Amino acid sequence: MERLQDKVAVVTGAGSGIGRAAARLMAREGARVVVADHRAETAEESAALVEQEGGRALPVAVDVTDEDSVAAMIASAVGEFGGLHVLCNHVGGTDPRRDLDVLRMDMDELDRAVARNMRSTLLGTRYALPHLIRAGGGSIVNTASVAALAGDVLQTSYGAVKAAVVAMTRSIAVQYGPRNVRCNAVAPGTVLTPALENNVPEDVVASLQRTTALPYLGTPEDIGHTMVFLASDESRYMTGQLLVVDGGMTMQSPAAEGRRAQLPL
Amino acid sequence: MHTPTHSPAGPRSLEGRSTLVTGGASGIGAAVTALFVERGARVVVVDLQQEAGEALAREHGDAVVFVHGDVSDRAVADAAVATAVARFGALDVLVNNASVSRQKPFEEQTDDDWRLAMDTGLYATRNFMLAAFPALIESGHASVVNFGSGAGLNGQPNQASYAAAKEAIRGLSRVTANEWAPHGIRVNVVCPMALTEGVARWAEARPEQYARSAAAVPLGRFGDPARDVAPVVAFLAGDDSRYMTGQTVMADGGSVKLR
Repeated sequence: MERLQDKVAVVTGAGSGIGRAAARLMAREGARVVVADHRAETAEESAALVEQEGGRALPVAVDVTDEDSVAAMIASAVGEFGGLHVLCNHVGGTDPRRDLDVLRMDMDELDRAVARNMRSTLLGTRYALPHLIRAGGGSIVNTASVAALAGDVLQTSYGAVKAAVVAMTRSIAVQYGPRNVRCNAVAPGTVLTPALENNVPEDVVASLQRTTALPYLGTPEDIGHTMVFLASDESRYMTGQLLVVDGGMTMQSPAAEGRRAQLPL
Repeated sequence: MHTPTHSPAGPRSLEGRSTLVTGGASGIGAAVTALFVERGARVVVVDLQQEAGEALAREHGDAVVFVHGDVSDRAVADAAVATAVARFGALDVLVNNASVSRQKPFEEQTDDDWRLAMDTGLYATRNFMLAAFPALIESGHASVVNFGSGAGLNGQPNQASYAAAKEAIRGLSRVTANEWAPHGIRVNVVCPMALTEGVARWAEARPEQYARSAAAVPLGRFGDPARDVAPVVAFLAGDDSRYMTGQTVMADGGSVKLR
């Protein structure tokens, strides 16, 4: 049996990268998927990819910071597919040109970061919950980041709002666990999304590899597989958890990089 | 170096994998063994319970080989790994599930109680990891799944020796995750909370205590070894989690929020 057979899933930020991979993998496991993205065209591209693989997808353009838009997204999922079982609050991020260190950061970017990451997760969850409860239970998968776990020299807002996503994940898990709604989060580390692969010079990729314990960088599918696991009944006894999928980046001792040469490889 | 070596996810996610499960004859270990077989793996089960182990091997035919022995004995670990390599041609996955302990207040726990918890928990995990290392290096899909416990994270009363052994296993797992990552060997920890035979006996003896404990779990119940715990172990064992290492994954209904 497919792992998401008879399930309906909404994935936000599904127009590219990890969100697109998650939507495709969920569809491959039998889910009917609402692929939501800020841009209608990229949502449609993702939906077309799902349909090409024999899956069912509905593209939806959404502004995840806007309550009416989020309500409409959830309503179209339920309207098209008759219910809702999985919500993947993937959309997020900050503008790295504005989200700098504390002294230099753009304060408006902090507000945007809160809206794009925290408000969006809370709104999606609010509108999905009644349907998940009506279905007898469901699974919410939030995208956090390793930035929630360790300090950085830049992207102050990003780390802060992703840590907030982890805290919200636990509260949602505690509040709706008794209604059989699970809520977990994924913290991706370095992932070779198409954007990274195309735009980052080779020496930067090499330096990212040095900060990763495993001898390869992650792919969008690596995160997508984790999201499928958390969406499916395979994780039915897991809730309030953060799964760190970072190749050992944050687990790695700061001394490990320098000492690796001493290993008898 | 980028090595996308993905096997298809899902029902046959462990197709062709050679695996070893300690304490695999009963409880969570038996549930893990059954799911691994269902997903296409072959399993060496190591257990002290000879009858149960032999029955399991008969039930699963060629997919399960039983090795009788005490997991705290390094020679047993060597023999079990050699069996996996001889019978299945490799060793890809090691699941250190076995452990035995006695529950009593700290000041009543004897040296012997501590030796039991450490030998069957911590030292058994060390034994099997040492024995398995040369084979795991050759695997290309190597994953070690060790067992921790919410008893350690929570400081569960009456569990001093068990909690200490389990937290030591988490430390060992993080260090080896670091040391073995360059070889592509992943090491993760699962902390299950399940209605095993032991918990069932306690539930029968103290139904009110049991009901209170279950009600304190956000998902409202104790886990089922087969449906709630084994799939998490299978996820960590297979390529779906190939970018995860050094992690602790709680399969506990949301009981422990901090770690």
